[in-house]
Amino acid sequence: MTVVEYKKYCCVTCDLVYDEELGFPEEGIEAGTLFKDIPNDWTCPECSASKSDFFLVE
Amino acid sequence: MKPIVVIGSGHAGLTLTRELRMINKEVPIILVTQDDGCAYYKPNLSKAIALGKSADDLMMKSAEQIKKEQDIFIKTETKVTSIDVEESFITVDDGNSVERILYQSLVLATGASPFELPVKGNAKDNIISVNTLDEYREFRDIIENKKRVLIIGAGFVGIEFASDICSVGYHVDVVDMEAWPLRRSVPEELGQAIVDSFPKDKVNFYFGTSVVAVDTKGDGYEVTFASGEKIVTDVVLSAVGIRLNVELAKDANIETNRGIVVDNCSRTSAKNIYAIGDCAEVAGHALPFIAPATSAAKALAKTLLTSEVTELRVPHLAVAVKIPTCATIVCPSLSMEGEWKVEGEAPDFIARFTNPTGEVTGFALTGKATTQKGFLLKECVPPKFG
Repeated sequence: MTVVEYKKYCCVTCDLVYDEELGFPEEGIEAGTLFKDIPNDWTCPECSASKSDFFLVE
Repeated sequence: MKPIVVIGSGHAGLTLTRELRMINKEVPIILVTQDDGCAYYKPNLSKAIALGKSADDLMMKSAEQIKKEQDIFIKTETKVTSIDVEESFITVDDGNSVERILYQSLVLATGASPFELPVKGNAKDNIISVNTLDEYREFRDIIENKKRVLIIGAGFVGIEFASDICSVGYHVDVVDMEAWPLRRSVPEELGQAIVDSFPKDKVNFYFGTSVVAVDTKGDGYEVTFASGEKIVTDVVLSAVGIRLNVELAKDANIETNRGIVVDNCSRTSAKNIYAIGDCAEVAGHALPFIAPATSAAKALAKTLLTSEVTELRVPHLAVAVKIPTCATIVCPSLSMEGEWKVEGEAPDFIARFTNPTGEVTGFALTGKATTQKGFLLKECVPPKFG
């Protein structure tokens, strides 16, 4: 059994954090969705920044 | 090599310098700002009191961090006094010395300032506004240990502040000339749903009137409305809107209107001078909010550093208004020609703004209807410029 290690990504513009473990259910992104699996045309729900404007939170 | 010079360290300016550096590691970039040059997300200023956030908590990056990360030169606390469009240089004054900075390209990202109200009274100068992180810092100090705040203006900023500070126990009075909040972005039914969601014992709304005078009274203020009514409060906050910072451009004979006039590639009337963000006006429209500034900064970075002249693309944007008691999303129509069509029951409304040919050009959603954002965005016809 592999344990998925969820990561967090932060929007460079507004600081909103995407937590893979929680997803964004209200935006139609289920809990557990990996950041790489989010559609490329997805935009930040707070400030409309593009997916590429998110950086990995170390 | 002459540098690319950017004036203003708000979201537009800092996004541009970041994008420029991503495209080209070598080009010299100078950012000139009258502020301290730190990065913060301005929409947070009207929703941070309830979260207990200090100004320092809201700061995302200091000027030092930005300098290092982006490898750019930042001149903080420095005013640009003039632009010489013929010789391609700006003159700056940091309070100690005056110098000239030559540019290959100059980008104006000078933003907007709070509109000053024509108000009378011996305390009119004590009316505050919160448009920068420093002003937020002061605001937080001013309201500490106070009980009542009067907010002038029930637009985005005013209504968010009302929501934010009433939730931590302040008594709030909101005054607006219009008949309901967010008048330019939502129809009456939705405005009423927003009003009804506020706790009645904490928030009083005064619509259809304005503030004509602010005078000291005891430790606080007496505020007089055009209707003759008088209200006593501890703090007066103005959120009546902004005027675009165009003076610098105007003094250099660059074409201005309400904003600095640019084409859809952010070019002003002067050679090698561009304008982005709140200060710019494209085809007669100012484009406020964060997202259009992001788009403009990204497109301009490409225009300046690649052979590709990139046009500004502004899709419809759904903006969430942070009113926890009544979820609200607005997507304002660029054109004011048309009418609202509302469906649903209070407080869950879908309102479509339709133009005379029946196309949806904007919308507003409240309550549970906010989950329909994605569908409504698809219904909207793309904004037309010019």
